[in-house]
Amino acid sequence: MRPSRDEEGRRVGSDVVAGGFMFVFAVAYLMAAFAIPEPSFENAVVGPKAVPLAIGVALAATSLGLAIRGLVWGRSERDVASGEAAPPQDLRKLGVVALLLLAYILIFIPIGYAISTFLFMLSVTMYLDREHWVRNLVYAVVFSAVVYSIFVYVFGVQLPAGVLS
Amino acid sequence: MADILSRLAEGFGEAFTVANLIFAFCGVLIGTLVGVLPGIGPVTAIALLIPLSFGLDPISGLILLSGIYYGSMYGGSTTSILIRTPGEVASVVTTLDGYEMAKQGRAGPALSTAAIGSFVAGTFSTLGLMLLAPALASVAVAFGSAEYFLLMLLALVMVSNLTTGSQLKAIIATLFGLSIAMVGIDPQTSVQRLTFGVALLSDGIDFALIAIALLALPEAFTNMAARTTSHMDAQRIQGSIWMTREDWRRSAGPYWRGSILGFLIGVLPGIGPSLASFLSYGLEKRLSKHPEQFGRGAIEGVAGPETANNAGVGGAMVPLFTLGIPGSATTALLLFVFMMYGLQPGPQLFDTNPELIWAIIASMYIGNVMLLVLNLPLVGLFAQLLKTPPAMLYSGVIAFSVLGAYALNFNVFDMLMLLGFGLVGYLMQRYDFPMAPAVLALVLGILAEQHLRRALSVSNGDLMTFVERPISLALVIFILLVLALPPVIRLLRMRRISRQHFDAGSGEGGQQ
Repeated sequence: MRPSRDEEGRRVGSDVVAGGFMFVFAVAYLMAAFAIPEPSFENAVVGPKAVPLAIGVALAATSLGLAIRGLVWGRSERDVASGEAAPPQDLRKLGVVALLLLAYILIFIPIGYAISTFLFMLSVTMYLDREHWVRNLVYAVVFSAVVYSIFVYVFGVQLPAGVLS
Repeated sequence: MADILSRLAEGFGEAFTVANLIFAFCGVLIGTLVGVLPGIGPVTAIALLIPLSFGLDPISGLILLSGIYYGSMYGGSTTSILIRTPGEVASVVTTLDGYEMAKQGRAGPALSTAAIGSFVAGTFSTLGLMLLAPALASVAVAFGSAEYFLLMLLALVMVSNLTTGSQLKAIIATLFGLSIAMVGIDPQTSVQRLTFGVALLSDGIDFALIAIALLALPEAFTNMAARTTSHMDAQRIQGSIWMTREDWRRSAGPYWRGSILGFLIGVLPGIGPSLASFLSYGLEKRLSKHPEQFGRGAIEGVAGPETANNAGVGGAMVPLFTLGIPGSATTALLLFVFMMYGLQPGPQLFDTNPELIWAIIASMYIGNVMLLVLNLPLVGLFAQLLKTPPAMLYSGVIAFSVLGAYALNFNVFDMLMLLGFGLVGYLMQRYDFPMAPAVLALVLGILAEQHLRRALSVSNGDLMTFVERPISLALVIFILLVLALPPVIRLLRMRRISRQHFDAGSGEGGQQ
């Protein structure tokens, strides 16, 4: 399957962006690595700083290399093993799913596993697939109830009961 | 030999208890299911089940999780053959001839040869593991920190150099994993490193957390944020699922060649079953009297790769059991599980916990028989799973990820980190960075660093310690070879392409 045209367009310069981001991360990482204190007693030949610094330098060099190569080549190298290209992305969908996930994480402990999971599953499936609301509702109920029971009663892992307790 | 057999008999005694048979069965069943479902692989499944295995005793937990590992290799072929979508990277090449066979109405024999080849390979590689592991363990007792450091370095160099995609990106992914691994208190000097004063970071970032975040979440995000829902065009399984006499004859060679190739590649650190299946396909095509049939439904093109990727599993267990060094993301997770149970894999494990090792080996024999029985008649049923709506499937994956992150340390901080690294992983995947090297580097990073520093403090900073002994010298040479290999291959390929260009150019010139 050939990538669609806008997919090709996005690919151009994507190595520059990726390399640039990684380079910024590497520089920040190096600054943090420099700040690692020396141990109070000096007994080791290689201190706690050396390896993080080496990793930071290597990361900065390779990501800069990626960005420069991207500028020269203009397009990115594809992984042959991943087969078909990933489906074109709708960033609004990603944003909504990530926000729902954030909300789920924040209410997980106070409200309890069963109810927060039910709400998360229902809202996500309804957002992505509005037509099958009965199926979504049944799935959300069954999933949260079954997983809760298996973890608590079969494996003895305590999950937050929240408002149900 | 007699010793191995008596140990194995004890292992079977342990594995044949009702509870452990159930765990082996659950493992291979879950493995087959996640193998069938595209986007959810063995690593994801094992990462998500780690919290579950807290409550189990080590033998049962490890039997369950290993079952997922080798079970997933069986399931991966099903989707390759029926819908031309590999369930696993290791099954990508199976799509070439498997789907062609299915289009010609020969889906049954294709699925059968994949299942039987997987069984042959699974059994053979378990046998190899059983014979090779104790021998290697007795050698490994003599290894010092220098050797361990070099072995881990070798694994990291292999995983970032012998990739199927961009080498530079694999190296960056490895370094990214290493950089995250450094967070936390330095075990040698008790100095806080990169924790920014956050107390929850001083124990380091949990490996399982990052593995879930980098492997499970990006896949779920990518599929949920897809602009259009892809529709799957499944080939029906028509006619007999059994292979003809001719099919058997043509599959026999790929079975044994794939078993040996896959096992040997699995033993080498850093190259997983996926490369084994690619190499096996190339080998079969080269050996075949009818190479032109490849890509048009040659059964050898299914039998070879599917055998090789299963054999890789047994091979990958060898360095894990005997050296405590994982060669892939999946075995890195298994190492984490060992350590979670307070067990340190390595040469001593064969003396301190022989019953555990042998029970796992015995369960692998049993599990492979279960898989064969399960897969041949039920493959149609498993294929039905592909009709699961993506919204339901991936919301379930996310819910399990959150649960897994919560069950590690029971705090919100970990769950928020899961989300953060999940988004990082999503971006990495969008920009074609491979995840497996990052995950492997994460688990090997701190171990390798400690061994490096220990080796250097013993030798007083003398780097000769890495080349003084024959084993370490051999490892250094091997690492240099692996580093030199990809550029040399690229050079040769470029030369060949430019020669072809030249030939084509002169051909055109002659016509004018």
